[in-house]
Amino acid sequence: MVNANKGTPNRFIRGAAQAIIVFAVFCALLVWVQRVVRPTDVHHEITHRSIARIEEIPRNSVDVVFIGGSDNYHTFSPIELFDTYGIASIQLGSSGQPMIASYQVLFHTLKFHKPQVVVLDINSLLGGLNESWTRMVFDSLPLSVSKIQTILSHTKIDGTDSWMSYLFPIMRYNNNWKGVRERSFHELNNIVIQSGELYWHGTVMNRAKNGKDALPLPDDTGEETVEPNPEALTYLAKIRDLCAKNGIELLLFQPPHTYESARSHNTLKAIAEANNLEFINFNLASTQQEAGFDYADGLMMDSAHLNTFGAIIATRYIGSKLGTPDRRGDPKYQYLADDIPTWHHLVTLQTLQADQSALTSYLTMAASDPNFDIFITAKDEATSGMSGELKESFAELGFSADFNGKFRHSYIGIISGGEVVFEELAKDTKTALKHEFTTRDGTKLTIESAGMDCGNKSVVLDASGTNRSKNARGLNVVVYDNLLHSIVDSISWDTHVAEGELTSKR
Amino acid sequence: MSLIAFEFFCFTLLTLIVYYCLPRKYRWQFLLTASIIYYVTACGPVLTAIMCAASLAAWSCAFFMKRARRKGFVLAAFVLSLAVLLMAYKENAFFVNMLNTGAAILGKRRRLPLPYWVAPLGISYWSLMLFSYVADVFWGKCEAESNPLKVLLYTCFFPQMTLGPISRYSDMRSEFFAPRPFDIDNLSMGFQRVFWGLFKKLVLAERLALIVANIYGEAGNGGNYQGFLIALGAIAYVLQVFMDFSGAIDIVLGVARMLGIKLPENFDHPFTAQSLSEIWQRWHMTLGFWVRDYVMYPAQKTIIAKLAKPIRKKFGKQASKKIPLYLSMLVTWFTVGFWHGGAWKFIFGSGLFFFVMIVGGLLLEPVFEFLKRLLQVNAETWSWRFFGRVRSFLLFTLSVSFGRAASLRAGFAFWRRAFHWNPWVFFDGTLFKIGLDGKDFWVMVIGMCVVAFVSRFEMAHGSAREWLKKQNIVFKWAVLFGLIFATLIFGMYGEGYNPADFIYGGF
Repeated sequence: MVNANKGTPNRFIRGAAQAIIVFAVFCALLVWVQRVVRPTDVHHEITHRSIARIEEIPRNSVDVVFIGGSDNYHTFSPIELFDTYGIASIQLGSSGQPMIASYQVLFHTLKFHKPQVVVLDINSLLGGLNESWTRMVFDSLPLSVSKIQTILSHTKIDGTDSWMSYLFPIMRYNNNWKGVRERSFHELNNIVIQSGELYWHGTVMNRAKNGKDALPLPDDTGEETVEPNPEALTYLAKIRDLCAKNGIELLLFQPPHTYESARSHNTLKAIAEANNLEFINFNLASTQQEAGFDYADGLMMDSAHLNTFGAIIATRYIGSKLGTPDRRGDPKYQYLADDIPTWHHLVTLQTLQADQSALTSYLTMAASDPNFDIFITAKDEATSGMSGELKESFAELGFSADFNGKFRHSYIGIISGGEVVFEELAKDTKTALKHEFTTRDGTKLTIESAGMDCGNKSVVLDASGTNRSKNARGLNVVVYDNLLHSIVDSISWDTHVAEGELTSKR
Repeated sequence: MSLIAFEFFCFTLLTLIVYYCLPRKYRWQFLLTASIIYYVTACGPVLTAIMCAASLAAWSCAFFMKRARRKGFVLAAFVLSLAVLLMAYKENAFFVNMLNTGAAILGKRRRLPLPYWVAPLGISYWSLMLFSYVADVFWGKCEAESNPLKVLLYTCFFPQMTLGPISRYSDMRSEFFAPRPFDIDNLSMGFQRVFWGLFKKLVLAERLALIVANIYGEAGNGGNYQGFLIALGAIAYVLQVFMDFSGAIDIVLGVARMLGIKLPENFDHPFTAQSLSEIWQRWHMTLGFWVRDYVMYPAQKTIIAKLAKPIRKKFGKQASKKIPLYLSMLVTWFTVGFWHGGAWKFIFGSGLFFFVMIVGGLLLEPVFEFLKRLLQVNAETWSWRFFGRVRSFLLFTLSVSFGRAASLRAGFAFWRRAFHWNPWVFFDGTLFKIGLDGKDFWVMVIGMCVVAFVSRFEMAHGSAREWLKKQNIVFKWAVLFGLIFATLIFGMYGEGYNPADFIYGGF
């Protein structure tokens, strides 16, 4: 006799189990889809990476936290800070980071680290609400009670924004599927590269040299002020209270801008005083003088951001003010020490790329970094403009070719890992040279040189068959970076002209 | 609260949870409460009170009708008051415009201002439903309800009130007041249907709307477009209306199904119809049936009863059968057109159906039969059936297209622009410049192919959802997840997000 009720509990359990599995699969798919259709431009990517780094590094291994907008992450380099002072820090800036996002980032950071100082870029006190910049940070932060509370309070202020779409970004990005494509940036060794900028561990490095005509603000800035953003003020107060509650010193900072006004400075200074906080404005003449910063040295990438060279100065300056312990030698902070060689390499790279000075200093700097493979080829005529000093420098680098009287001779010279690994000077003007080279990371390049009478060309063919040499008269230099696995510079010097008139071309 | 608003889904979820937690005997009271809350939230207490008053009036008329000596008088009084309510709130612009037009013809300068007052939500639907209830009681088709609150629930059941379907009280009695036990099947099927409706509405209807808006233009007369693009615009409009309306009905029926309530279907694959009359048996079916039962049949009986004799005397027996029929159909189509909106463009568009069905379908039928015999047309072939579908669809499109124009005059201007030869617009990239870019256009085309495939499948095999239910779980959920995520990803809802705003915004 069949018991009609026997199957019922099993059926219920089976149904419940199916429902749970289906719901779990749905949630996983939803998370994945939301990740795919979210904006994938480089700014979103580097924000996401910066915030992810909070949990990736060892717990409680940060003494200083940098938060704020893009001018912040163009200003402070944690690796430079550790290299110079042994200060352990993390860079959590993001493009246009509003104060509400700064607060939430700090709140999240304090779950994993116990910093002693927070350096807050307060430029956003003068900006307006911007949904894109707010979402960029919130989309990267994991779900938490605090995040929900902040979203709810924010969307009450910005009535056009929907709190639900912060929790389920697909509701906002529902037409972003059209923008899903191959990423516009490259990534090599965790270094994001786009349009000549390098992003690495929170810091953005740019080699452009601008703003040479800018002037700092005088120390006497008068009394006029501007109206700050009320929501930003609210969250500055929350950051202040959060720091006070956790025994953290809060240092307010404004990075240099060539357009900065006295009114802005007065406003920020007043806000800092009202909140009883220290404020350093890098736009003031006295501060810049103290730091050894001069606009005329071309330390700005653009009107609002420092380049790598300016960032080194600013970082060393702030490091001198922080007073946090020197962590060099402590195994817990080895992750920062391990990054120092890469940092030096990237600085050297940017210096090379920004530098158009003498051939010898260029080659000397490039050869000093073992990550570079340097290819020197002659085209047309490369020796008549070579001075005795230049020939000596070549000899010092390890080259042994005798360039005397070698008018219109083909020439190939290769430095790899700081050593000359190949050199050939043609015996006569009718001989063109060709050499196949494999870089240390396995990339095959074809190098050719031909003087005026035997082809008149300089070639460095990359894997795609593109000639990366400038192919200009004189000596052409191509630099391959084994860390970034790509050709990073191509420059030529017209060594046909008279000594002293050597010109470079990029 | 729109049917596609996030708040509506939250409200529905909450209603479902409480509904199934309650004992069955209290569930209809809770539904009534929820529906009233929905109504008040949507249009405020005053309009809610008007709706409740209309419902109470209907209940009173039906309840006291059996004791009334002159039942017809009670019915007429109710119908008249309902008609006045409907005209005042919905069709007032039509009458005011007619009066102003008359004044202009008579050379008067004075013009009446157009009244701008908000109508009670769903008045176009619940007024017809209340009428059908009272009429059914009058004709003895339905027992009068003793509890006015039950009639109120019938009137304002929240998923149904904004877009129908137009149900009958006799059918809904057992659905509302004898609720069945919780059945996971209802929840699952209802949920699937809701998402199918969302797919049609958000992925397809919204995209078609962009093409339609672009081609019709602000003046609603075709703007700068001509030739085949005009026809494309008209077709896009019909498809937009179908996806929008049937999608919304799917949401309504899906929500009701989740509550274990079966509402009547409103669409039955209308574009598979092989004649215009068949389309109307498959398109907005509940309106069609209502108009048939409460306008056409009564009109036929009345007109036939009164006019048959004099017509037979004057024109003969054949005419006495056909002319009353045509007249009752004219009244029917006028009602349909008028119901859609108090404007001549709707009445004209509806009248075109009448014209085509009378002239083409009835008067010219012998001519068409002769041609079929002469050309040896085999009406059983697929090609003939396909021809019938295409012909019906195009005639339907012609009639419906006037509804989108700004006015009847704009509608004529719209079609005048169609007389231009430009077939190259289908091949020279123009299709991607009429409101949708290439990606959106192909999403729309593929989506419509999916809908067409499902429709074809259901014609051959019955309900696609029932078929899917029998498949293995992995396949079943792959299809459902595909539907859900296609709607989430490709649906056009909210403002969308333009990353360029961020890029151009700078730092």
